Amino acid sequence: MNISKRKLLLIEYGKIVLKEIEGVKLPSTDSDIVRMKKIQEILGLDHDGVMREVSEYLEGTVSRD
Amino acid sequence: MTFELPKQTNEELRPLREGIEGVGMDWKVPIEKIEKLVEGDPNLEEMLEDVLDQCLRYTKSVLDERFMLETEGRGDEHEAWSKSRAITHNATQDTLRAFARNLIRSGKTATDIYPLLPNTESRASCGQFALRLTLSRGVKTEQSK
Repeated sequence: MNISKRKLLLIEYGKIVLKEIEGVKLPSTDSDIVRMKKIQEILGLDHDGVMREVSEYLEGTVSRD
Repeated sequence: MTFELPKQTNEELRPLREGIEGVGMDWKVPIEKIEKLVEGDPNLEEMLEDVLDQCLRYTKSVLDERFMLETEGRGDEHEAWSKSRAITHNATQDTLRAFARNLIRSGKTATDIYPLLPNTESRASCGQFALRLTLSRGVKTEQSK
């Protein structure tokens, strides 16, 4: 998998998680959960592993602000 | 009247912050410890809500900007998202500064606060903390299922 595709998956995963955090306003849908599981499978990581990678990727962009 | 942290605080407390800033450490922010810090003080509890909301806004702005960059590349539209991200970053640093200042005013010591909060004088540290804080909430939510 190329780096750009991996980054897009991490971004997509992060966006779904944020929707989940905002649960009261916008409940997670079943399709979101299925998609999260699919992304975990593609990346070969569990939820915690994906979240760690999302965090590392986003943190690496902070100095560009 | 303004209240400033002592100048030596940042250097002296660097080892205490390594749990948040250090490479290779657990990336998750211990939100429950921060909640404990404000427990019983309605003003601080409200400020913590503001911190959580602002960090969430910042994380969203970063994800949106990154998505735009990865899908559309650099251009006018990406530039607009990038500016929005920078403005949200500034607001996040201001919110974290105010929170830390008010914790000190309430009688908490720097030793209580800075193992949990970032160096609020560092823009990058505030941004990284905001991302970790928000994503830590995501881990918590998933684990509670």
